[in-house]
Amino acid sequence: MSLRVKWILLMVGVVVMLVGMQVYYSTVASGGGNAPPETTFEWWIYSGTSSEYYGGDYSKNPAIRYTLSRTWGPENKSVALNFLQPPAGTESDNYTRMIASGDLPDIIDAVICDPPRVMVEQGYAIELTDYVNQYMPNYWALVHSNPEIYNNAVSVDEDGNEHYYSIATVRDAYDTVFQGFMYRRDWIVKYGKNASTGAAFTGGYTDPENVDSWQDDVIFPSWYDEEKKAYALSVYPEWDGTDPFFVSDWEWMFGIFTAAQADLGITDKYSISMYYPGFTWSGGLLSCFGGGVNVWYQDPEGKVHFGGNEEPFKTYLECLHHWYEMGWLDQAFNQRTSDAFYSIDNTSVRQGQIGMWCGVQSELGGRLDMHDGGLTEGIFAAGAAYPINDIYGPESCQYVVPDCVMGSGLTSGGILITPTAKDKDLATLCSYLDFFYTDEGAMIKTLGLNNSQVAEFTENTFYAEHGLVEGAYTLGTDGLYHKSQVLVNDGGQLATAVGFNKAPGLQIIARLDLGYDPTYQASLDRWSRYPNTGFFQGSRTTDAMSQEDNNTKDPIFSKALEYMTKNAADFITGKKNFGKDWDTWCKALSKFRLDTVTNILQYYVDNYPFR
Amino acid sequence: MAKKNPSDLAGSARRSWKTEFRRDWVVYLLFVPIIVYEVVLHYLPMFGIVMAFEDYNVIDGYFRSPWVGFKHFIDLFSGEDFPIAIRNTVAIGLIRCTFGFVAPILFALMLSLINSKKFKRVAQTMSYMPNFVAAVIVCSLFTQFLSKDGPLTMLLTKVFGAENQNWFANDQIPVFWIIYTLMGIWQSIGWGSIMYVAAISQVSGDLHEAAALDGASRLQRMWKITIPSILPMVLMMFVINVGTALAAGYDNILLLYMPSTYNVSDTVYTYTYRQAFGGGTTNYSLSAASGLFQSVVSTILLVGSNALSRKAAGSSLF
Repeated sequence: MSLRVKWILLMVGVVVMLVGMQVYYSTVASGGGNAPPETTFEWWIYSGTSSEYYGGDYSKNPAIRYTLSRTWGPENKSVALNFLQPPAGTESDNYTRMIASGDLPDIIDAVICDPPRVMVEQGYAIELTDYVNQYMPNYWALVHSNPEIYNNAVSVDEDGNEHYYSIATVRDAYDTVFQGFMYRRDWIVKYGKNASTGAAFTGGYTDPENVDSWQDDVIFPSWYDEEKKAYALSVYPEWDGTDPFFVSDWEWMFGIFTAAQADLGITDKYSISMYYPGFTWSGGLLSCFGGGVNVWYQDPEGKVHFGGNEEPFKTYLECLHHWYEMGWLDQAFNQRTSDAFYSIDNTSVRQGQIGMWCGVQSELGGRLDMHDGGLTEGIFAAGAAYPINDIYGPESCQYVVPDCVMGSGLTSGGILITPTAKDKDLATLCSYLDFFYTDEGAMIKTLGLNNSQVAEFTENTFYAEHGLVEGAYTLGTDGLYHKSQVLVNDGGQLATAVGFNKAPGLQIIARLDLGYDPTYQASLDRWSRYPNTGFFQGSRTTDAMSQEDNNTKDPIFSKALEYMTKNAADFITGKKNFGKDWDTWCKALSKFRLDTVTNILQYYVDNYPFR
Repeated sequence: MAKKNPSDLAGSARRSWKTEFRRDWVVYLLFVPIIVYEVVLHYLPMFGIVMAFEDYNVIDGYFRSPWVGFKHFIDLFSGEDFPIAIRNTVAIGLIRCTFGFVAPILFALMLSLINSKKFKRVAQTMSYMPNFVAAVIVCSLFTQFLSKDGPLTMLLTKVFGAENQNWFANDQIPVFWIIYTLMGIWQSIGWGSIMYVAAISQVSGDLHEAAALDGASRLQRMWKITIPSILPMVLMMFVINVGTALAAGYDNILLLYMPSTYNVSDTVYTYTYRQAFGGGTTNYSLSAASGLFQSVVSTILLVGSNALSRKAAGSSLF
């Protein structure tokens, strides 16, 4: 190869590299190009923009283009938005660089930032109280319509003055959660027997083409126990015995799973998986043994506790120890450190070898069926609500509804406006954003455009290209918004690609029919059966903490959590003995000045309730 | 060529640096970027050490963050698990400085004994490859291979009768230390041998020829000629290795360890990482204090090993 050719190749390589860097680092996309500079805003968005449809150019989102085709504010101005979207996987780094450099866009997606008040105090965002009061009547009205929304969206100072530090997204009802425990109901049908009659269960798919069309006659044992049934109905009147309600129901299932695995030749597996330290400190299953969590939480009276050395957590560990001893619990649970809590030992789950696991919506029903004659053949995964403890520990830990669970709130994220935008026309921007708190704007945010908007917005070809000429939803005679069947059937991200879901606004939940099959919807409902009333980390309560209190709390929190993470699994596996070692555990935890944090948090729970 | 007068040489030695600069200014000019690089990227950032003595926060910066003296050092050293982290760091460092250090030398010596140039080139190239595999992938591969049903575990169980287990979950001393060292050797043996291969190639062929004529075997020639010839290089690399033993390469442990094996796998690096950035907290000052501590210890080790090398073998890095 001649020197000249080498030089040419080198130059080509350099050019390709530079172009690649340009593509990688500059993902600025703009929409609404006719707007004047004072109403042109840069907006940093975290992720979730369905780039498979418009390649990272979020401004091509038809719902955004539709809203930007109108004029806004007291002076009827056009608005333009330039979206800054970091490449997938670099969001956090990108955010850190942006904050550290001080080179801020006008608007920041408030997903991974510090609490809004802290961001304003630190100078990364500006207070929006005057703008909200003047130019956002719909947002103001929504915020004042519900105490929970008000508590989380408004900061009230000691003189009773309201402060708005961000513009939050608001929901009209609690949303479903994306994950939860699920179990192989097809195994219950095939290998289980009715606890009362001893008869084999029957059931199966009614429509082989529909992964949710499952019907069976399974009734769980506690339905036949009058005391348990009475308790269950007092807690959840809709319960009909067809889904597991108590820990004893879960253990009944574990026995069936063990039999199923033996019959199918599945060796060296287990009935239920567990997150690797043996607990998830944000709540969930461990809250089912008397309530609370093993870090700080508030009881029903609003008193703050540290739960790591309390009886409910000990009871939880005793239960898991029993499951471990019985072979029901994954024997390698504390070794799966790199697995997400909703995707533990995913290979075994997807191979159809596990009876119960914590999974995500896309694993429900028959969606894991590989149709290859293997262990997933005929699978039906049903969602299970957290169980009520009816077996383990003292009476105080039994028949108590879990109060610390992962669930949706009525507010979330939203946006912050930075000092970069302080000389721009924020009145127009706020008027534009307020639109998304009206019914029309809320639907554009939640689902997208309806048929009349699609017809009106002739520049939009996206909807027609994806079979949505009738719009993303219709309003039914039942008063509910019905999602287009095209979106219901779509297995990808089309639903998020047609709406402006990154906008702050009102997210419609209650008035929306997503078109799910009853079995699928029932699973989602079970995951959200018990509301979170006790776990306040990451809520408005801790968001309100001063820097000084955070500096006191965080190291103690870290050390206590580290101690528990290292040692809790030993109680489950039996390396540590509850009679002998529990006192040592409690003494070790007491060294971490837990009361100091409890007192600090009590102040914030009293003054900044999240519910 | 005319011989230089010794008095001229003495005169040139006495010439001032100004004269030399005037004469060789182009050479000095070429050195400017290196000086700028060193000053800007290595010396100016040293000012960041001040973070270790402050409750540093990004907004207040170096100059307005509150001064707390040795608070973060006390926090670091008084941690219950810190002694265990120190023990593990020293143990892993020692194993790496012995087995991990010797392996590339032995590999280079073995390569030097290969006659087939083609085979030698292939072997060298293959040995370099693991060095270019990302740490995440290497750790993931080893995790899979040494899991309960991994191929290496199967081999150990079926051939050597070892217990069937996830080897990375074994908290017995020194299982993790050995696995970690072997993993490091596999990844770096080829790349680490480059310097030695280059040094061996510089050894005069005449010496080997003469020794061979005198009846020396290949092993004897290696022992009597090759090793003494590369000894200064070996000592230099040893000094560097000792200096970095406390700090280098421990990020892989973050990908391999788990709470149940902290007692054997936790090092100063990983311990600091958890204390400074775990549990949702970000404590830059504690991290800086730990970094400063490790740098001071590494400097002492570097100077010590250099002095030892000078005293024992008459050869040193500086």
